[in-house]
Amino acid sequence: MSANPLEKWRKVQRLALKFKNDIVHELAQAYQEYLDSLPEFAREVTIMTFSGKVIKRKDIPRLIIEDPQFREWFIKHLTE
Amino acid sequence: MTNVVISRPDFERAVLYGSYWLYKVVKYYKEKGFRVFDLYGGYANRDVWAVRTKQSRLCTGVGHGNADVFTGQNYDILWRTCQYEKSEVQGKIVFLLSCLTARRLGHDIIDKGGQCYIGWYEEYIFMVSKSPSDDDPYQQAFLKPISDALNLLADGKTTGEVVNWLYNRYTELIKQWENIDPEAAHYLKHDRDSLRIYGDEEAQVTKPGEPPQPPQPDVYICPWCGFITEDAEKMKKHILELHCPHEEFWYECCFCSYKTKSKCDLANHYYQEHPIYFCPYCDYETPSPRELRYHIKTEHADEICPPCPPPKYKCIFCGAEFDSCEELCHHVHDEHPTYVCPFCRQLFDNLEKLKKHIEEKHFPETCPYYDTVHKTCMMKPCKLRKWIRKILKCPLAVIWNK
Repeated sequence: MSANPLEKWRKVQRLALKFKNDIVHELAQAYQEYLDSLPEFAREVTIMTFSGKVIKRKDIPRLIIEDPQFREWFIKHLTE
Repeated sequence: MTNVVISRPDFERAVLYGSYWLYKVVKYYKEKGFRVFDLYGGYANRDVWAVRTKQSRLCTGVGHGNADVFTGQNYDILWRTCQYEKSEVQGKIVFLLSCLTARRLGHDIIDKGGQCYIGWYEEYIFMVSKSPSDDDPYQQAFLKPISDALNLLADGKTTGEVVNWLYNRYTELIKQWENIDPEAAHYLKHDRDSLRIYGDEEAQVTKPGEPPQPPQPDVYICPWCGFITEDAEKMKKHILELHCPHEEFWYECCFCSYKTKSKCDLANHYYQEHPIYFCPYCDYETPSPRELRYHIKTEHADEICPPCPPPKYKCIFCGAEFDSCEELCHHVHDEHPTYVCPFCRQLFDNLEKLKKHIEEKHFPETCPYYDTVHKTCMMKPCKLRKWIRKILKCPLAVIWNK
């Protein structure tokens, strides 16, 4: 672990709160840094919902950039 | 005996995790003496659900859902707002591990007379790090509390107490996970805050101190049509004849692992995959031609007719029969010198016949070389042809030259 995951996660949340399209890459980068701060076993985690979403956590930085639908869902949940 | 129905579809990853953890609930309720209708996999369908919910005190399950819908196997809609019978929910406790059902379906259940509803107002988000397992810390955090909460209902806790316990359990977990994986803590908080309870918070699956009921004679209820009987064999026959739904009741091939619910398919399978060979002397049958040959050889050696004689080669001139073509050729060569018409290649066994044939078919009487040809012809047909072509001016020579 290179840094405190909580700090990294808060950075992700801050970016999500003030999200604009021009910081997409910054948000993805922040999430990647958060992932890197986690222990190895936690990086292989899959996020699921009972409404049909199955997302591998390590794909999230890519999805933030490439998939606007996912980005919307992700930001919505982060800013609740 | 108190009945409980638990829907556990298994068609997709998310519900498979839920079903794994709800199986612990199935076992726990059975241990506690409840009668559990475990609608696993294909049984988690609307028809079975409609019958079993009417018979149960607690209706629970995992499944995909939205504000109006709770689904089972392959998204089969188990309940949709305003589109199910009152008797399915009247006076019952409903606990749905699904997304968003607290928005409208939960209210609808209470409006229709449900005693208590527990479910989620938002998406139920959970995390997993491995296949369904007790060892996964993420599943322990997100799914185990739910199976524990359902088990508490079996212990006699009220629905309100159970929801409070679940809320507090989530709070503990959030604290635990905040430093390990803050995102997991965030989703746990999300799940905790969207948990809802409607209706009677004092509702109980069993009343405290209620004596365990003696086991009752088993009544078999057909999950498809509600047909009831105490006779297991009768029920088996009923399902086999009318519904034939489960692999257990399918027709099995006695030669391979093929199974089918259709007798006709099995017959086709036998015909295509295991053609049957019947013994012509007895009722013995086998899919193996080698076995049949062995059987006939060992069991019916006396009955087998002697082998057929090999075919005979017959001389077309005298009718004599020979065992081989060679013998026949020698016979014809020695006994019936063959004469071939040089014009049409017809065969004759004596010269007189050939002469007559040529006279009738090939040489008109006007031919000036009739006699010469006639004589030559008696000697060698091939020479005759050459002779006609080269020397004679017979009109037939023209034909030959062509």
